[in-house]
Amino acid sequence: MKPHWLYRMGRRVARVTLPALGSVEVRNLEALPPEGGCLLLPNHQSALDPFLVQGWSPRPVRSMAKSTQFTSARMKWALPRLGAFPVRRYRTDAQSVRMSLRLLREGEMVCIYPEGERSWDGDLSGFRNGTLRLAAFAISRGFPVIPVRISGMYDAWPRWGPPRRVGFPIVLEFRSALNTEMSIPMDREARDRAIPELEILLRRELSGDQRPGREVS
Amino acid sequence: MRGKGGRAKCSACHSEIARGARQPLHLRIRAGQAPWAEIAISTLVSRMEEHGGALGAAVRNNGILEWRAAATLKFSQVEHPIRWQDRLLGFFEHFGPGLPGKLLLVGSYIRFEPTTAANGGGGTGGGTSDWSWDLRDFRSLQSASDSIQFTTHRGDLVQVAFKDDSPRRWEILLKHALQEVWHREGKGEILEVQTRIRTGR
Repeated sequence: MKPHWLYRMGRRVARVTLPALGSVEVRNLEALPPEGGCLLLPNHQSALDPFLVQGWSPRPVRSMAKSTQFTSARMKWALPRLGAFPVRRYRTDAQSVRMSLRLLREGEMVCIYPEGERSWDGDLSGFRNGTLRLAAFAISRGFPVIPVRISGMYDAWPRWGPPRRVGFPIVLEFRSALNTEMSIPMDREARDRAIPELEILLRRELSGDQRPGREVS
Repeated sequence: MRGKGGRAKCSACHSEIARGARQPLHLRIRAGQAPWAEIAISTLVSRMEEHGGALGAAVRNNGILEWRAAATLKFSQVEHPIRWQDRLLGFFEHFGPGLPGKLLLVGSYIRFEPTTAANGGGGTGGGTSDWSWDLRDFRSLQSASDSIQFTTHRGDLVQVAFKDDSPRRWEILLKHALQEVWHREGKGEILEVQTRIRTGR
């Protein structure tokens, strides 16, 4: 899909404004497939994470966003044009799952934050079971599932405070596709059995250097 | 303690807290006119946890959780579809007008007491105009920006926004209260509370 002009503009604005918070360092862009559907699973540190991912991804990204963001007329107009589609987090939202799978089949890059919300303390939170099931389904169908490790954004704009400039790089690191480390059969029971291993792998890939210099007291 | 942006000050003891400007993320704290001291957020959080965290202040002597805060209550009865380029992208909830009042958590119940117009907006109403929920009726719980949202088995979707309290605190308190209720009822340990309360059983 050719991105809307608002998406292209948002991407340019992100690339200009985010470096004002801290220099942006992108690692391992080669992990992204040049074409075809793939699922990005970033950790979620800040409200600006979608702009970071979309701003520096070479291909358009369709992001799953909480439905409460669509309540104002302005956001309802803007978010679909920025590549977002809603998920109702207070219920099992079959439509958001259908939409994700449809986009994958159409060769789009879909971004879902597996923690389901921004971290309060910068650490990796628990993963939503529904997202893990969707990731297992994607792997079983051969779609690359790529963990995206974000660090520095929590310090730049934590959930509980205003944004400010940080003196270290904001890092966006695309990890190798989980498909290279595990294969999941197509039948549902086998997929369900694979979820604990998938969760461990994803946690390993997303954890690590999430808060620069965190050990310094 | 009142604050704005990256600073807060206590009007009683004149202690100040400010967000630091170097890594790692830290706070600068000053008691009165004393020099600024710095503490890493991670250290502060672990020390708060050692002192009971959000639960510490809310557990009463009889062991029952109790907390209250000014809040605005909203209900959602309608979900609207979002279409773009002739395609159904999904649905979002529409909330009705907000009702100011106080939210109380006592043990395994929460109650909302609306501020009444009759007393000039300064007091709380009671009786039939209150709303209360038994945590056993909860189906899901989540925090979103300045509010918490929960659904019940009756189909309510309720949003409670806080002006002067932390939705994170309420999330922790409610999760703890839910865990206690579920444990008491023999339903097992709660693994996640959104998109629905799911246990390890």
